[in-house]
Amino acid sequence: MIKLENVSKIYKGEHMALRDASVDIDKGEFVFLVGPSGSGKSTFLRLLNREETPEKGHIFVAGKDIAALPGYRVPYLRRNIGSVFQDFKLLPNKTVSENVAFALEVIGRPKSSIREAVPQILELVGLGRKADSMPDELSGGEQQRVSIARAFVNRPLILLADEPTGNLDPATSVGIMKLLDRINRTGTTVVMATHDRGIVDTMRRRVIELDRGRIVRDQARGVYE
Amino acid sequence: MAVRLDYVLKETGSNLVRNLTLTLASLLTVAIALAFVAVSFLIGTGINDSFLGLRSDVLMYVYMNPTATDEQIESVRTQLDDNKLVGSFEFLDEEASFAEFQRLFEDQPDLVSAIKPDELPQSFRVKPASADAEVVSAVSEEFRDLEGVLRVEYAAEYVRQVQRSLATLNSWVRIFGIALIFVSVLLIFNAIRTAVFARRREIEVMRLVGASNWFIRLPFMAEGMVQGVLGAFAAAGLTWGFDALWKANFVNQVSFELLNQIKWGAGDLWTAVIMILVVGAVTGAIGSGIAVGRYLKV
Repeated sequence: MIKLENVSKIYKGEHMALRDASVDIDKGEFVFLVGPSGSGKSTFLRLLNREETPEKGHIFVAGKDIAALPGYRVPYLRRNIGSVFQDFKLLPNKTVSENVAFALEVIGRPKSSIREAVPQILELVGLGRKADSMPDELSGGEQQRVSIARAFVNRPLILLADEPTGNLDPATSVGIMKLLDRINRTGTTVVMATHDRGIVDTMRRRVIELDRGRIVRDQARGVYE
Repeated sequence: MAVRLDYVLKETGSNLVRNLTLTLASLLTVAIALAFVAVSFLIGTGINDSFLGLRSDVLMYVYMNPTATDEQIESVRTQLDDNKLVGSFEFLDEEASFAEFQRLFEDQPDLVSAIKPDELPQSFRVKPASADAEVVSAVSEEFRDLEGVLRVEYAAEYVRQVQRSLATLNSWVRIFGIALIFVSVLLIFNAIRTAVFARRREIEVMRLVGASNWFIRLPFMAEGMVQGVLGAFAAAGLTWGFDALWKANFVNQVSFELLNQIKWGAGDLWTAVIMILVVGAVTGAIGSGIAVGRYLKV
């Protein structure tokens, strides 16, 4: 599903955010990216949805070399990739269901299919009764569920999560991880960057460790360290 | 590509209302700029068409120097008599000139009382044999350099001078209008930049979930176009008003010599209106196009 071949990303001509990284991730895998701040986790994720392009190497997503993708095709790549962030990125002036519907509206999905999909996904993330709340009326964990609903409502092949539990307390984080696990079990490939040792050690999934842009460990059913 | 019209309309409308002051500033500037351009176009057309008709009115004045001697005046009179190109002429002495002066400025008694008869030059009012501009000009050449002649003036020359200064004034109006069009582009650019900034969160989300580039850009492009076109409609209204005022106040009004000769047809008015609508739309497209290109990363 995702394949990196000798990928290097250099910022401003000197700082190597990623050095000669090669990784193969299969469909349906759940992968943790771990490592200290600045080790290249976010760059790894940003390369996968073409927020960035590599200086060297090839990146294949669903069989296509996305580094060679022309700019106008990038939106269609992103429709197959959901993204979740530490800061949720919800629109404060829209309700929960409007936030989720927005993701479908802007890719031109017909109104009838939006009316069907939004309540379904809100039920899935456990927010069926908060559909008409505004984001600032929700707890952090609930806001992250909305952002996961928005990322997943289009049923993408891949879900990228950049420290999704970074702003949440441990109990709430567990709930979010259960949700991501459920999504993963529907066949969606999940790649999650995290600093949360407890989560990684509990889940026992594949762990890729980065250090100063290099992949220093790639372990099936791994732990944080 | 599925860009829904109702979405573009809704987003464009809410952007326009959100930045109402900026929208109004751009709109008014576009309106004023285009109105200047249209008015200058109409007057320019009027100037070119009107003065042809004045050629037939070719009275010529030979003004004598106030210090001219009686012999010099007699000599000019004799030559006018002998010249085949001169049809008829009439001598206006100091009294006659003063009477003419009083008649022309009867509504300004201060001016009339300030001038004494002997301060006005004596003159010959000459009607050339032919109205042909060449003939008139030839007659004027012959008398210009005679002893005691102050200067020779004739309508065609006067008309040409007025025409020239009106044309100069008109090109300044046009330059001013074009400069304002540039200001409009900058204002629209700024309004769109502000709109992009106000909606940066939405834009970020749209990019993340894979909205197509045109889907993201279109409402902003449309916003600039709407500002340009609405401004142009306002300018069309102003031009229409100018047209009506000009026709009511100047055209064929005896009291406005020369100005009453500047007229244009309904076809010219339509040309001007269509021209400013096109320029308005293009102005909006350029302003918003630059802003979207620079500030909207997709």
